[in-house]
Amino acid sequence: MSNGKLINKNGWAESFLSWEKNNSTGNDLMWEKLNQKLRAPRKKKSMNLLWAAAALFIISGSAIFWKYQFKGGQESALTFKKHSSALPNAPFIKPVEKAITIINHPTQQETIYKKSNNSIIKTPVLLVDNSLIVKTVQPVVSDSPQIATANPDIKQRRIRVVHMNEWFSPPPPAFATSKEDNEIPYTPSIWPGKHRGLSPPSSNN
Amino acid sequence: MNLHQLLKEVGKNDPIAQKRLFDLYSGSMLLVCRRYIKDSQDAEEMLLNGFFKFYSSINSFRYINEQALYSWIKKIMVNECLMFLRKKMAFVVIGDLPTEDHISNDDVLDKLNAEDIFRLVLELPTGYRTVFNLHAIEGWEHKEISKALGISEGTSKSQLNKARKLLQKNLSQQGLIYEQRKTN
Repeated sequence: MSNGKLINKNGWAESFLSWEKNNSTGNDLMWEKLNQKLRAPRKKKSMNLLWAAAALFIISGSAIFWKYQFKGGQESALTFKKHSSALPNAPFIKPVEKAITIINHPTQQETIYKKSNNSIIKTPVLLVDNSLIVKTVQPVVSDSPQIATANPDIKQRRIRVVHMNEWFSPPPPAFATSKEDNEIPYTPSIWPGKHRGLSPPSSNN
Repeated sequence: MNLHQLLKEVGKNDPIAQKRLFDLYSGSMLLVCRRYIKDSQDAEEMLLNGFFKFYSSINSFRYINEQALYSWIKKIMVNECLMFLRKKMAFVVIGDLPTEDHISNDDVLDKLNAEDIFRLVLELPTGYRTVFNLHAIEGWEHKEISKALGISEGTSKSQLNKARKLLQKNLSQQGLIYEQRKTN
């Protein structure tokens, strides 16, 4: 830059600049504005210093808090054990849990499976009232299966179970003599076979 | 207390010394700012910003003489004003006009006093006024002006030529030229 070096030949500019330079009238109002502007950075600096101190205090306080939080505790990244997630109303058969135990070296881990108490419990115990047992649990004794009929008035016929091998063989004498009306008559079928001496069901059945 | 000692005190953030230095240069620097920025409030704002920068960086200034100090403060003020004008996009030129071979001279200004010149310069548009201030009054080259304002050298020359023509037109309208002819 020329820094005010004049290149004009007329000289009017020189006289103008000298007039401009000699015009020195101070303005107190403007000085007050400038003075406030000059003093403001100091206040701002002190405020920034205060904020920085407060931030440092908070950070150091939180660091100390976290340090003491994990100082006496056994839990860390290596020794952390996942707690059982069983709820109070969970089934009393304890599931197999997997626990991690640190042995000697922090980098080597051995997995140990805890035994479940499932083997201890053999049969589930059902605790109910005696009257309920009488009503609900009854011994069922039946000689032969019943054939359901549409008409309940019709007397149901008894079914005789015949072995396949004795299908073509003639009925034994005992069975033939004790034939009843409601019994299914013996009819030879197309199935080939030979009776091998297996005794037919007795007529008492 | 001479100027060198005053500057040392100002460097120590002495408010009394700061006020004395402000009183010494604020008047002339306000005129400099007004030459570039027509609005008086904006000009005062630039004056305060310039003095603030001057006081902030006074320890880096090496005192040689009074003229060097004045030039340094003035340079700070001019730069502040140019930055302000650039922020306001005051130098948006519609188009680069070809530089005219005929350069209007401003010999007519020799016959005017400083206050009349100041008043005439203030009537110029911002672009014309800035280039005229920098070239005709401050003595900057067109290359320097183009770099400072972010315009081409041709634009700077054309703006200066137009500023001179407008000055002559304004002078003729006000009848100053007729008075000069009478006196001649």
